[in-house]
Parts: sequence; C-alpha cells; structure tokens
Amino acid sequence: MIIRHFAARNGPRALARTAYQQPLRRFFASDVDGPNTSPEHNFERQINAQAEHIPSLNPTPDAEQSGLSVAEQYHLYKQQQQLNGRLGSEITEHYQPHTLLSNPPSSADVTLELLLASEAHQGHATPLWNPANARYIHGIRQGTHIISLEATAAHLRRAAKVVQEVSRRGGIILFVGTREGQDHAVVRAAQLSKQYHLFERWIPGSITNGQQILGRCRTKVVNEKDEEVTGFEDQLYDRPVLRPDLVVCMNPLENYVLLHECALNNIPTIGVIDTNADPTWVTYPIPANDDSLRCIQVIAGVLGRAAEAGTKQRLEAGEKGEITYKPAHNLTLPEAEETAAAEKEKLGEEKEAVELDNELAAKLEDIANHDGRRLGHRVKHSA
Amino acid sequence: MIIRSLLRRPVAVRCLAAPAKSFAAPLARWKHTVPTLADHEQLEQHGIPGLFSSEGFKTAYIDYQKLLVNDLNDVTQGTEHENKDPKSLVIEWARDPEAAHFFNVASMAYNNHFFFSRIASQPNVTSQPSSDFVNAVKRDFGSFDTFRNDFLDHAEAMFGPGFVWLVQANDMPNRPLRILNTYIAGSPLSGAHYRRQAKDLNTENVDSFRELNPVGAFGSAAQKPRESKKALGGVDVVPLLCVNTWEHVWLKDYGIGGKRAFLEAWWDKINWNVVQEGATLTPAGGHRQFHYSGMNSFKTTL
Repeated sequence: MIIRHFAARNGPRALARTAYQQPLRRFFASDVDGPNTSPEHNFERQINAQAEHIPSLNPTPDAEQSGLSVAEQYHLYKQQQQLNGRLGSEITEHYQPHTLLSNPPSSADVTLELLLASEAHQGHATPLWNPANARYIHGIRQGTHIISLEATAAHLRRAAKVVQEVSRRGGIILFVGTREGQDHAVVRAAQLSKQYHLFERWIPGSITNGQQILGRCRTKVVNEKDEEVTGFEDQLYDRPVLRPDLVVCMNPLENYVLLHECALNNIPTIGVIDTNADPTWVTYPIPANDDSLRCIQVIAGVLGRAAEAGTKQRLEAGEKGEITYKPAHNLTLPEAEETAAAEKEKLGEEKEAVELDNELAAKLEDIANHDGRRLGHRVKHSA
Repeated sequence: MIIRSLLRRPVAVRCLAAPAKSFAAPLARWKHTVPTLADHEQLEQHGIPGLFSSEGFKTAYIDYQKLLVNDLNDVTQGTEHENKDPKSLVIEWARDPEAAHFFNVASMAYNNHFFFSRIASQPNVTSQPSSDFVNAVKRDFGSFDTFRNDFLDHAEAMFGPGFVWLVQANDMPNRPLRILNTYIAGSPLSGAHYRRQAKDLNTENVDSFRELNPVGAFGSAAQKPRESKKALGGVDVVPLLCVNTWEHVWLKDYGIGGKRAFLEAWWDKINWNVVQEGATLTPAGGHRQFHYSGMNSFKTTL
C-alpha cells in the first residue's frame, strides 16, 4: 500500500526525471548492462534511492550492508569453490609436488611405485660406490648403480618404527637436512611431531662440547600433557645440556661430524645412505637416493608421520594420566621445596635470619664467581 | 675417475635423446574426463524422464561433453595449463583474444556441466524450493510465476545459442537474485567478465549499449564511477542455475520448433536443493527494510 501511494505521489516526477536522464534509451533493446539492471529494476532502484531520503521509511544503512567484510567474502568464496569450483570435467589423479609437504605419506603408504616415482632407486656412477652397500644394490644400468627398492622400503619401514617408538617414549628426535632444498622437508617433519629440526650447518661439538655451545639455551620442564610447569628455574640452572635421543639425517655424507658425535655418545642415528655413502656411519641406514629432493621429501614425510603417531600416543596416554617415559632425575616439585622452606621458618626467626643471610651470601658469591653462563639447558625448540 | 665415466656414457645420452615425438597424443594419459552425474548409469539408459530421452541425453551430455573434454585435453596437455580445472582455465583465457577458442571449449564444458548438475534426475520426484528461496524470489521478481515467466521468456527470446542464468549479486545490498543471458559460450564468472557476452551485438548500437564505445576520455564509459576495490575473494555474481539453449540440446527430442516446449519441460525438472545451496538467503523475519517489489503492473513508457 505504502509503495503504491508513494509512487502515486512521486511517480510522475520520478518518471520525468528518468526521461530527462535517458531520453533515447527506451526506444532500443532494454537497458540491460548486466545482471544488475533491467527497466523495472532501474525504476525500482530510483524509487528506492529516493526513499532513502525519507528516514521513516528506511532504516539507516549499515556500512557493511552495502559490502561484505573480508572474512565474509572469503567464506563465501570458499563455499562457492566447493560447490561450483570443480565443474566441467573430472581431472584424473596426478602428481602434485606440494602434497608431499602438505600431506606427507605415512609408512603404510610406502609402495615400490611411490619410491620409483620419487627416484629413490637412482644410485651414483659405479666407480664411486662404497662396496659396503653391495647388499642394497639391485644392479647396474647405464653405468650407475640401481638401489633395490625392496631394500629401501623395508629399511624405511623399520626406521619409521624406531622413530615412532622413540617419540612415544618422549624422546628428543632431531631431523637434520643441511643440503639446499631439504629445509622444508625436515621442518615439516619436526612440526608434525613436535620435535626438532636442523637445516643449517651442524656446529661441531654441540653434543661433545654441549655445555659450551648450547649452554645459553632456555630449558623448560613439561608435564605429561606437554604443558610447561613453572617453578623449576633454580633446579634447571644446574642441570646439564640436553641431547637428542635419536638423530635422523637426510645427508650423512655432509654430516660426518654430527654422526660421529652421536656415536661417541651412544645416540642412535638414522640416515639416507646412497651408493657412495658409508652405511656404518649410522645405526639404521635407509638405502635411497639422497640427491633427489622428492625422495628426501618422501622419506622425511614418512618418518615425520611416524613420529607424529608416536607423539599422539604419548599425549593420549598423558590425557589418561599415564606416562610412557621415566620422569627426569633429581627434580623435586616446587611445592615440596616450599613446604621444606616453611618448616624451616617455624624453627625460629634467628635461625631463619642466619640461614637467609647465608643463602644471600651464597647467591652473592655465586653471582660474583660465575662468568654469566648457566649450566642446565635444552636443545632449541622447533617452532 | 669421474671424467672417464662421463666420457664413457655418450651412448647412453644418445639413447635418451632418441624417442620420437611423432605421435604425442596416444602415449599421454587423458587428464580430463567426462564428469559423472548423480545416477549416471540410470540417466544413460533412460535419459531424464520428462525432459530428455536417452538418445537426447546422450547427444546433449555424454557425446557433447566428451567432445569438449577431448578438446580440452588436446589444448592443455604438455602445457603449463595441464591439470587445471575448467573454471580456472576459463578465467585465465577470458582476457586473451588469441585464446578465444580455448576459452570457448573450457567455458562450454563448465556451463554444460553446470546445466546438468542442476537438473533433478530422479524420475518421480519434483523438487520444490524452500520458503526462504521463494521469499527471496518474491522480493526480487514479484512472484514465483513471474520469475518463471521472466526466465523462460529470456531464454526463448535469445536468438541463437547461449545460456540463461539465475545469479545472485553479492555486491549489492540484500544480495538480489537476477537473470543473466550469455550468448554462445559466454561465462557468468566474475573473473571472466571480458567474455560474458551478455549482449547480442546485432541488436545493439552505441546508444543502447554504452559498453560498445569504451574508448576516449570523453566517452560515456569515462563518466562511470570507478568500481571500489573489492576485498580478497570478492565475487561479482554467483551463478545458481542455468538453462542451455543450444539447439543440439533440444533438437532431437523436441524438434525444430520445440524450444518453448523444452524450456517448460526443463523448468519442472529443476533440482531446487542444489540451486538453494549456492544462494545466500536471509531467513523470513529478518530485519525489515524498505524494498519495492512487484513492478509488473508498471510499464516503462514515456
């Protein structure tokens, strides 16, 4: 009703205005510049535009009403992509390189076809081989050794089991890949499993001379759910440097020092052993091509997934209140320390004063004596 | 040692260079395949009851989509566009006149599949739109019957092949529903607006269609205000529904003069559930706004 009255009141004026603005249009095909306009809609829009001046008929237009917010538009876009994005044809499955990092394969997905497509079988020229690798070599083709993919698959699955169990037991795993292009693979493996990575040069002595090199790193105490527990700062001050419990190395040929340090300290190692590498440098060799980034991404992906499964098992046990590891030695709970201090306070003020003085003196001595380096640390976290 | 081993390998190098490239196509894997519809086997056997016979469906979808998909494979294989879906290809090629044929193929593949995906394939089920959707239609077209007549008249009036779309303009307040024609292989997608082909240029001239004269600083196009920069992911229109008016779609089942009959039969077979899924609808009882609906009693006369 309101609309008709309004049109009746303003109709002729509105029509006249329209006629003035677009005199010749009406004689030709309807003015449809796009989906937004049609003769009726033009008229409708003009009526509505005039209506906006009348406050009683129109609520104050919102700033966002005329346009969507960025979040809304993105959501809409995603919705549309899901509904209409794949129309037209079905594309057969094909290799998408980024999926090796975004969605790495697990141990169960390791097939000979995958390893072959990832060029894991490509060895080096026959004169360059290390004869200790003879058991892993399938044959020779065009002057290069071909690594047996059955051996690769078997060793990879074994390594995955080791990694999973170490992770389940709360061990520190260090994924190392120092060659160009291996950084994404090792970082991704560490991220998946909440472990550690290294893609720059290993600083010699980080294990054998850890106190010196890694002495300044922050350490923290975590509970069975991986939540940090505060109050241990004093105790951590005196603790020794942390060391990895397992090292996974993507290019052992360039990391001899790291692997040697691990061997000296009884740290098991896993390494990708090419035909020219020495399999005795690592505890669990994986015979494969270390020169192919795709192969490294597959191996790092599989081991990362295994570590992720282990971490998941550990955290699930933690949710139930079970721990899958031995708690750290010689750490007393902060509450126990506090009660001990409270008991001491009861003995008397004098004694307390004396003891406090002694403590203060000891601390002052400590500060005066130590050269600014703390003793207890942990290997750096991954992001 | 290394140098010697390299020198010893020229035979191998020659072997690697050998394979002939005389027949590339049969050796390659076909990447694009005809997409399967819901109840695809049933459709192949019986067609779409009430709309297409099995031969008609075979011509309109199976054979024609196969043709388009083969063309797409020929065009994209071995190039950087390999493994891209038709929608991305449409938007990529819309701006490039030299890729006009490629655009046509990708656009027809997209549009034809879109058309068939919005048809209800079950024989005894007539889909009904939800009340939210009907309210949105009433708000923008007046009534559902008006909407139907409007839509089918648009399709019938187009001379020559093309598509008629129901779209939702998400840039405007209230997100109205609109009807859009695309002639031949035009695309309603926002990134492909260069090839929207919403106009039959044979029936337009400079005065009726402003966009015919875009050049010149004093042209009418220069007077238009610049569109505001959209946020990331902004969409101009969202296609909801379309009808394929190419003759090969309805010629077999409806005959040479059967366009209207085909359109009316098609209307009864629309799957409104899928159509609604793509629309952003405000539920009934949303905040009241002044909107003028029901223009049909007014004629645009001077």
